Amino acid sequence: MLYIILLPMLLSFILIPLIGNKRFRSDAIALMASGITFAIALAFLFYYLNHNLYENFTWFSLGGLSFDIALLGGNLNLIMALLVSFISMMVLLFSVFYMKNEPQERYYAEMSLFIFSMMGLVISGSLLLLYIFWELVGVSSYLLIGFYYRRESASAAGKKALIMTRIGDIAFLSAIIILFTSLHSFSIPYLLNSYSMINPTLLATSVVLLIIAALSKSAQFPFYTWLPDAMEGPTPVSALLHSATMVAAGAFILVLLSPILYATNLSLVIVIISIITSFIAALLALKSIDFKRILAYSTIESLSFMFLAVGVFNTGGAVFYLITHAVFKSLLFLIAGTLLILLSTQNIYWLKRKNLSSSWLYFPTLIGLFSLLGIPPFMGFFAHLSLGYTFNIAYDIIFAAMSFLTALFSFRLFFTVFHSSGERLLKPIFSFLPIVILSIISVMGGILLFYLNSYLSIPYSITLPEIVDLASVALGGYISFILFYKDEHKTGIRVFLASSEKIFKISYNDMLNAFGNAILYAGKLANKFDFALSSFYNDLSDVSFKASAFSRRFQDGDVETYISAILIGVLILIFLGAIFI
Amino acid sequence: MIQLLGFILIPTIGIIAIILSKILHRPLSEEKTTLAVALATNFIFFSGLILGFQSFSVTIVNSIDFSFNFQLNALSLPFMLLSVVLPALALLPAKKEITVNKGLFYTLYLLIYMSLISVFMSNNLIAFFIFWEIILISFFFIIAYWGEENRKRASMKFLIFTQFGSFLLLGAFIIMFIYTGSFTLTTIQSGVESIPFAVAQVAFVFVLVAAIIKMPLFPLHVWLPDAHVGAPTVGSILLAGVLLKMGGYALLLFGTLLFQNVVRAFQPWLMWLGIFTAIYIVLVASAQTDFKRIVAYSSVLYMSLAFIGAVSLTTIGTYGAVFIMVSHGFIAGMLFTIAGIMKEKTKTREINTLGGLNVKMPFFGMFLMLAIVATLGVPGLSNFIGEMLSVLGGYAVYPLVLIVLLSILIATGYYLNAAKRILFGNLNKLFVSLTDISYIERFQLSIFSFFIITLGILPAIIFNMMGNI
Repeated sequence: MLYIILLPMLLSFILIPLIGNKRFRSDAIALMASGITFAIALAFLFYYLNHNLYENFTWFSLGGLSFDIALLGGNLNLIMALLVSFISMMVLLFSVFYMKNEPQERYYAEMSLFIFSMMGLVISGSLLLLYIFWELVGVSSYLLIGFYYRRESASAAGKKALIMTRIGDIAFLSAIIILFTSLHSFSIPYLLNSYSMINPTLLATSVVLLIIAALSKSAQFPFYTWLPDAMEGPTPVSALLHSATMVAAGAFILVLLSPILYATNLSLVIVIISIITSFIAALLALKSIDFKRILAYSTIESLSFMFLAVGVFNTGGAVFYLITHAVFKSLLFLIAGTLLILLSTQNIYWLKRKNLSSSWLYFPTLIGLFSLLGIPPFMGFFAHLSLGYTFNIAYDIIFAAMSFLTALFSFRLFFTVFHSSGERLLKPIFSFLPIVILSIISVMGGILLFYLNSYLSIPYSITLPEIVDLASVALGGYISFILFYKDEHKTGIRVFLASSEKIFKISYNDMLNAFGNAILYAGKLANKFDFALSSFYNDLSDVSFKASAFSRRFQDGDVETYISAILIGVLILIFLGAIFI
Repeated sequence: MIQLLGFILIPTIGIIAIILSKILHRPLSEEKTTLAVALATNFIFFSGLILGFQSFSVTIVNSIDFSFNFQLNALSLPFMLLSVVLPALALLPAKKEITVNKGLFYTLYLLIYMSLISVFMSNNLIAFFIFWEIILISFFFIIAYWGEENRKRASMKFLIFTQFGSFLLLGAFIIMFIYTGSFTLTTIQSGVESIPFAVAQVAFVFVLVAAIIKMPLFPLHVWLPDAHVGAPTVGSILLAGVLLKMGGYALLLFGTLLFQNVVRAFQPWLMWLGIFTAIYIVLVASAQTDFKRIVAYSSVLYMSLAFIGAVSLTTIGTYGAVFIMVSHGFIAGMLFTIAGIMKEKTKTREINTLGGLNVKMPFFGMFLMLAIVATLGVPGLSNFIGEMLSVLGGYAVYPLVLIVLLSILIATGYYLNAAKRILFGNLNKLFVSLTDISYIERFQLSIFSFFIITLGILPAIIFNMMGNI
């Protein structure tokens, strides 16, 4: 029955190319489908919480093994389904405003495919189905990121995103093959119950592969470079893909498969990678001058917090942070999109000259950033309460440092864009409505923690480190105020930014490029070898042509030669026939 | 019940009609005749899938067990699906490309059509070999007479390589005949135990080398790219779509399913042959700039995945090998059709000189994207099942097979690069006056897409066509 959740978006994907723009508006179809999806997800949450639905279908069976596709309706899955459908609805609403001058059918069809795949991903109950939707998410994101295909940079960004995430896909497929060969089943609940039957080395290998898959999808170190480039896509696409859905899929599968992760003692790897990623992302966000790119780096950082929580055995905290992040980050992306359409720039220094402090976007931005920073009473504060629950002292210190950096770049963004007042922006309804709804949830959503903690076992407490965090946020905010609000021409910050750029951006990109070039070079070498091989055979054939020129002499048109040749041939045939028959 | 002999009779009628019209100087459109034959053949094939097929047998020479014995074996139907459908779809590019000597071309074409289907339903090895040879010789003429660049050399290369493979295959058949006293496949299958291991090794190596040439695998693949570039589009569709699959079919039927002990003895070597070929060929493909060459080299990748599945000897691997061959038949057919359209419209296939075609040709872009995504093994489209099953089968016996997945990653890189260069970016000024593909081309590509999507969602169609292995 769970498949009902998937039907509306699938139908929308099929219907839009068929009837979109002819009798119905494509945006109306997609919006309606996402509304129905949201309603169905809500109904499921209402009726089937704590039921742990599991529905199995056999796709095909071969040699006694059945290839199952199953749907899973555990609490985590249902809540994720609700979240994804809700954010999708908001983003589609915003798209009506943002994409009104773009090709409608193509955009909404691709969007429907993406939402369908993402909904499928969160309710998959078998590794096979999970992989199928995982790949479909990747492909549809490729199409969406490269939506403005005439722009060279956009199509390059789409290509980069797909290749980078495909590294993870290959790793994921390998992990699935290993697990299936060991267990003869794709079922996720079965895997989580009986992973102890698997050879420990194989289990560890498959967990490493799954971690690689998660890191590549969630744009963590060493794969993070595709996400900032993916900002080339339309802003609603960024708001959907890079806040709540696609990039969160990596964290989601780690949470879903956390029992096998914890069985292998590999969680420290995740912790280390997430700390590296969060520092890189925060520093890069600090030097970026593009509104959407700052948000992109902030997304990478937030995702690394989720990974950190998973790494310290706090999956509940990771999930609640995921939900919170989905809300405030899509809010911030929608704000960036609105500014881009109304003022046609996303450069924060250009926005500074537009005198935006008195515009209606001032408070939503503030709410989004406060939620990002975990300032009470916004939703992010509650997320931070549960996120830090299992931190030890070392992680607390690191996290406080991270909070400081986050505050620095967040307030830099805020103080730069909303520097002075004057301009009064338009309030297009399809942009105003989703922004207001998301703002309200960012303000009030914290209470969800007390509702969800019994269903998802989210631990939380107010501790001293949390207060230290807030203090470091305040410090970061103050420094940011001095540096960026009062005067941005301080030399100290310039040096700092320049050095951060040198360390992280250039050398790392060079390294990746070198890796790509190495493969290209290997290709050239292989091609040369292939050419040599081919000419070797050509030389051989030249020899045979010469031989044939010799034998051609027997074909001299003399009938007697032919007859004698035929006779010899027949004799040989008779001789052969006598042997075999 | 549908009589299997029908697959011989209908094309033969077509051939006779074309020849008679030439002799009697009666105007008869060769294209229409061939299309009628193709439609009739498709009709009886799909009716047969529902109603069942009836075997046919007539003995020609009793003493050497030579008969025309048409009977379906476990692998027949999926390959027959390819050989019935693809030549019919290739008629559209043929109509555009073939302007001279139509009578001869369509005679050869129908001869190939008949023989392709017959190869996959022949139960007698002599008959099998005769049809196999008819295909190779006729195809040689198609490249040599109607080909594009370098067609003379390409056709010679094709003929010499594949003939060499054929003779090895014949050698293997003769060995089987000596020890089992029969050229009938079903008899050989039941009597294969009587072949001593040492002889079986020789026979298997013969079949293996024949398959390495025909599929092809490293190091005997060099004829393939030249043949593809030399051949007209219709030839490429047949070559990648069906002719290569004959090699895979022979490997499965006369190699891995027959000489399992021998395969087991050499399994790691065979696996490495498959893995190495896959990685090597994607590296070579990544250095190509001609779209047709990219597709041509990539066909070797999928054949090597099929090879891995086949030599794994597992049920899953064997089914996977058949599936990936069927699936790749449709996808390669689609990609070569698109390459042909590209050449026709823009006069070039160099990806670096193209650019922004999607602006002018959105339908062309959509179909190209679909074909590329399908060939990269995205789930929901047919190649995914084949890839997954082949690697799954290979992994079960030789875990290092997982390395082969890297080749798919590299393929992703160069295929996406090709897509970007061809479709995206700014429109090259040369192509401002391009028009999108015609309705009939859209229809043709939709049929390819239909098979790719249907098999991707309902793979059981192919598995149910196959018998127990």
